Amino acid sequence: MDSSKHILWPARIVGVFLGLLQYPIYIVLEKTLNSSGGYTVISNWLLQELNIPFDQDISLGITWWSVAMLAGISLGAFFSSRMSKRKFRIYSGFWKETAEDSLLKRIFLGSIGGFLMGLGLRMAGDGTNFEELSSIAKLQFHSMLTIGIIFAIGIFFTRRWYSSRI
Amino acid sequence: MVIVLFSLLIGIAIGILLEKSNILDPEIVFNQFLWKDFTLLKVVLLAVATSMLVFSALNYSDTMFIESFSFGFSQVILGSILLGFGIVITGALPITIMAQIGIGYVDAIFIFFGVILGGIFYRLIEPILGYIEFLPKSNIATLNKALDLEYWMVAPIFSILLMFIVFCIRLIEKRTEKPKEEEEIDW
Repeated sequence: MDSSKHILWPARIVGVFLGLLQYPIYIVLEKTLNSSGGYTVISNWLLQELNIPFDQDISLGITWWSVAMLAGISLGAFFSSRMSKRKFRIYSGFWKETAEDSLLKRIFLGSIGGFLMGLGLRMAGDGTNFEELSSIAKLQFHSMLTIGIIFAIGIFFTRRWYSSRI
Repeated sequence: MVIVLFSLLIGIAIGILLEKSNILDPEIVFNQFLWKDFTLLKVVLLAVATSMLVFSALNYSDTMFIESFSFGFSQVILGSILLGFGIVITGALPITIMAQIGIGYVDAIFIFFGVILGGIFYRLIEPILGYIEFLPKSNIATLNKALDLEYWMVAPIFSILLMFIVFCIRLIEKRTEKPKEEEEIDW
């Protein structure tokens, strides 16, 4: 791990602050915390810009605030890592281990994994976006089902694929 | 414009929190699945528990309406399986991809493009997804609707339950704790 001397905040503080952010988000945007909405907006915008034919009856709902939130996450992590003088790495040590230091393998695994994640996010939200934390907090059944399945797959396949390399 | 700036600021706050908790590191995600490190679970459970309290307050004051919609089990199950595999392959969560890019992980850029392509592919196959609905749709989408209670009556109980789970995890961790390399700020 690249953070041996990196100052970390306790998980409980981070969790509570993330939850409290829901208040200003709802008051100002009348939405709840949902990072995956930004990815959907970028996908839909690209569909439009590249003139890819799709079912025109389906509303694209392009809302740039969710993209701004994604950009903000990136900026926040950047500033925070610079200010805390986090040791710079161009990839996680874990990825190096699992992909056996092959750049091509990392590009392939990253793209395939990302593709499955992007497709899965939309399907798990049943056409909307899977809102991660917010939809569990709203006590929605489909998100509880999703989290259960993610953990089941994670526990089963991580043990099978990676446990010998960690 | 104000809304976009506000979202940017909220995003910056989230980015700082993700970087400071280090849950953007794939090793944290994998160690969670291997039950070696509970940082991810603690962050998620406490974020959900706090969100429940915030939503309850907003719902009680009639500021927030918790939407309930029907959903198709088949699509949700299939989507969750794909999402699960995506997370296991990349070690990234949807919310951490951008933070990984922010701290300079080049690999996260490929994950990001993969997610965007996945979203485009979903749009293209959306019209035919109706054919995979081999399971019935659920008309009751939320737990409080199933119990026929208001959201603010149910959510705080679950919030306390989640906090108790985190407390138990912390207790177990303290009993089995090894000296940590990381320097933590004691709040």
